[in-house]
Amino acid sequence: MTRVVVTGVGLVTPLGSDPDSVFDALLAGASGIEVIPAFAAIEGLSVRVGGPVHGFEPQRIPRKFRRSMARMAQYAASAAADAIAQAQLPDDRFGSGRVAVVAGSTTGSPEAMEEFFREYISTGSVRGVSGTAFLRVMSHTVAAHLALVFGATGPVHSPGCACAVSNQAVGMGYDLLRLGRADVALCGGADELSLLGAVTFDVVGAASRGWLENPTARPAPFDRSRDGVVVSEGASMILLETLEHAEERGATILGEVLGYGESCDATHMSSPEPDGMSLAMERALGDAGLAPADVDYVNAHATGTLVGDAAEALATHRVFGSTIPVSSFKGHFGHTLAACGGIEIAMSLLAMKRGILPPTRNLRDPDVADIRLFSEPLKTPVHRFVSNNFAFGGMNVSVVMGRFT
Amino acid sequence: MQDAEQVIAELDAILVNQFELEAGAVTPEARLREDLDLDSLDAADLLIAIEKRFPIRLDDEAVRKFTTVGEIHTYVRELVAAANQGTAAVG
Repeated sequence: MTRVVVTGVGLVTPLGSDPDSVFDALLAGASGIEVIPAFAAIEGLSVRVGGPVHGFEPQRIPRKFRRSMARMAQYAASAAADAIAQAQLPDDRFGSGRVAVVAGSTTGSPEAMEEFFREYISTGSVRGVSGTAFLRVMSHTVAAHLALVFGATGPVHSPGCACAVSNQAVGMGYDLLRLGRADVALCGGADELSLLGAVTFDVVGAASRGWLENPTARPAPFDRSRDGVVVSEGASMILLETLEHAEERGATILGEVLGYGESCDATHMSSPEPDGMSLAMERALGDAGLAPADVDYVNAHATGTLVGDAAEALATHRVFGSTIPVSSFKGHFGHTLAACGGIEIAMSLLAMKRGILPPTRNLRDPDVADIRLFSEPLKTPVHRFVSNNFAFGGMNVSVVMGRFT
Repeated sequence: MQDAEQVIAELDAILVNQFELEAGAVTPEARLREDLDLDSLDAADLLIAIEKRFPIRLDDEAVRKFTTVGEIHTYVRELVAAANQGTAAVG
């Protein structure tokens, strides 16, 4: 069986872009959540806080590429450039047809959609619609632009399963490499903070509302006081290679992909089922040939919703019991949507390297099934971890990674 | 009402700002594709920017056929002049 390893990671998050600095911020209990003044001006919207990215420099991307790139694609390209730099992957590999791109977003750019319809609805004409509008709206805008920017001529796939995009991208990339369809896969997701994202969770009662006075107190995954998602933005890119390809060029290996599992609840579009979640975890363990006790850490999706966190804790308890440490990073970052899984994998790889686990921020009084949650950084050896992501539509995705030995 | 020099200065400013060009590179002789690296996607956005700035409607086909900055100058200057004459006649 072809072994697949991680040789680079790249991030854009509300807490910065340098993975080591972001990890330090998690350990220090930092929050990327703040009041978003524009939300207050929107009639009917109860959400007031979010997690924006600061200090991003789009000029890093040449205009010829950037002209058709929404913020989400720009974030993705920046994260990808960092992942490629860390992996020290030579430029000449990209045109070989053996570098795949598997990346997506929750939707095409909401900002571009707003721009298009604002012009059309206000004027009744499409005369002022930019020639690049559709290139920012199309569902594979992130993946297609990554291929363009880096000249990657291999398979390009665009998973679109909302909040589980980047973990699914890692799983799909893993499969492409195992099937021999590519040697390298740039995998991840990106999203931009938007009205569409905030409204989506607000109207179904799954968004945290208010908190103008104390924005960093939200979200509160697994906590009794949790009241919903806080939407944020960012990008994550995980660079996968076949072990053979990585060793042939002497690459530094950050970890190994050991297994991947997914399932669909197929019962409700927005209300999750523990059975589907645990099935994805079991399938990932089965794919890896591991028992639950072989895993040292479970990185939870837990976004801070009443129903979602409870279902996830129950599913996690059923598979892993009460002794394996579990934490969610949504309390630090908010919910970066399509970017979250890759960000969490990048942080979990660093936790494995450093032997210390960031806790769940804003967790004081857990009221979910009996899993081993913790509120302070936890020093413990990590040889293997599971990263879970779930999404509207009943999507359940689990990835197992471990130290390369 | 805008005179010809003003129209040309504003067109050059659109090219510089919209496409992040060096001001010195935007000369009447500059070739859009070969010298300024502009293509059909840029032509579509150039048309929008010009129509937002001046009270004229450009012919899509004519815009696609431009090969130099000077041709844009001439075409837009004539349309703006015609629009100005129309305004004056009405006024």
